[in-house]
Amino acid sequence: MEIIRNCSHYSSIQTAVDLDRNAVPVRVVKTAFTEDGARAIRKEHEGILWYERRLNSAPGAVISLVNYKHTFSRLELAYRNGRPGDLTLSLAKNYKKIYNALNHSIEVFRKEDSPYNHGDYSIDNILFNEDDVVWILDWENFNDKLPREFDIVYFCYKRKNMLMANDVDAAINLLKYGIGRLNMPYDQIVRKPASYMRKLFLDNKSIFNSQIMKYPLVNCPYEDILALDAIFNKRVA
Amino acid sequence: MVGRVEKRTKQDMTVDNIFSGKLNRQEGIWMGPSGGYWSNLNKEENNAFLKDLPTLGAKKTVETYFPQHYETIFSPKRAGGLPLLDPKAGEVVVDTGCMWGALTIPLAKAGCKVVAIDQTHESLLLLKQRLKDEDLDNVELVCADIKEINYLEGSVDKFVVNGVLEWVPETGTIELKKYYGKRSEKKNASPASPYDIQLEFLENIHRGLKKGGTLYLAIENRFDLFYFLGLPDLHCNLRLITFLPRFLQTIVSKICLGRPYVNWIYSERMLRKILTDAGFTDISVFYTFPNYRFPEYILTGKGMGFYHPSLYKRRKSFAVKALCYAVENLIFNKFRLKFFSPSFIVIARK
Repeated sequence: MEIIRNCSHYSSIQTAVDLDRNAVPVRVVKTAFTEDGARAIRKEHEGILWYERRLNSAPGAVISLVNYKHTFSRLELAYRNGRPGDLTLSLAKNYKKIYNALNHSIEVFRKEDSPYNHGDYSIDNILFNEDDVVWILDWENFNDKLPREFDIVYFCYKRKNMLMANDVDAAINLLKYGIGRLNMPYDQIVRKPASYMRKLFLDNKSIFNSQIMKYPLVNCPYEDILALDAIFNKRVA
Repeated sequence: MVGRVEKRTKQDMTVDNIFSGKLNRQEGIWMGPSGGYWSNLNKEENNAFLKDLPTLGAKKTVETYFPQHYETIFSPKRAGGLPLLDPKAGEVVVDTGCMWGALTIPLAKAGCKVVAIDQTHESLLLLKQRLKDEDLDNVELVCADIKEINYLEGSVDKFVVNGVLEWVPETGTIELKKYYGKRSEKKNASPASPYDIQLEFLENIHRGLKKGGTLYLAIENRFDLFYFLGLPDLHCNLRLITFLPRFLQTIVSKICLGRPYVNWIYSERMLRKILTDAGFTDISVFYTFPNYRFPEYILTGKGMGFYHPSLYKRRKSFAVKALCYAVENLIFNKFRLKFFSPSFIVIARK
């Protein structure tokens, strides 16, 4: 068993990978020894089961779940092959992946108009085979309390670096496409994406707990947000 | 039928079932054979916070009196290696040298019956307050010298020895601030070799374990790559000392600090040897980065491919960071030289 990242969810979740004899991963084990982490793991369990049902795939993603009161959780998952997307690449370079992931999101979450959201739908939480979506990871923020468009807007804007001017066209296209398919009025979202996104985060603070301060658009100065809005405005006009 | 209110049975006293001697209980802490003192704080500092402890609670007290140790005490990252131990509800786990309870609390939260032993009474009082704040009732605190206390044969499911083995050969009072890198004439230094003292300590643990029971041991690597590059030894603050032959270590330590070098840490081979000598079988060694206190990567040999540079983050200047990153990438990622990893976590079975 290898513990490869002891930093997720404010260090309260330990993620371990089990390797077989040829060093090929077979299982992922997530353990939490704190209330916060244990809650996130239970949410993740709930989310994965839901996702599996949505995909109509045979059950098998969850191997076992152990809870002790509300303070400890241990979740064993089957390992999925695939490469997560790279957040550091520019939006334009990721265009194909983002386009596919957007479609996947609409297929899974918006089919039959479900109330659920993944809550952290970003490209580094999606496994790809070449450019095709294989599986969605990290269901810690799975919930039914966020507005419907949250995942899509969040997805288009969650970046390591701020959006560059040449990414903006790509972002606008994606947003128009995604929101257009959902029959949502996209005027406000496309014209003022940054402030809209920030508002979404702050309005739903309770869902993200202390994690929220890590999110882009929440922890950056307000001038940057206005500047970003201005760039989009100019492009749309 | 009228519903009956079930009487809560008093938790059976784990302490009576695992120690050979009879212990007395004073204000919620069991008192065993004691003599030493080990703390990151001086005695005066320890006494200063005690009076405010019940009113402020543990977190506020630490924030007020010694904020520099806040992360060490409360960070959930400390429990990074515990999934390897795989604690299960109801198991008896002994945390030897628990200090402020960085691992005691996670173990208690997993539902284990934890017995936390430490020789410093003040540390246990802080831990007691933490347990009260967290509303955990499955921990017994024992104030005793971990070398003196004897376990009943086959009474414990799991042992935790986290950063303690290298301190076992020390005796008497250690206030780390006055001790770390400072000159002190040790009059009561034991004549026995540190290896023998550590071995005896491990044998005692081995005796206490049930058949199939597990030991979790975390310790620095004697051949940590950065010790060769001049990082001071974390136990005595001398540079370029850990990898010297033992007799040279003693000479250097006697010249610089006026005391013999007893904080023996080991290479992987010697660690396996001392554990095998103590009777353990099925020993798996995990290479731990950047250290076992705040582990980020805990890897076996075949998992070294997962490693991503993590040690460089602790360096301050940009140039050193860059150099560090390059060295790490080369040594651990490209060549996978686990021999030079900074520390080990060992899972051994009886």
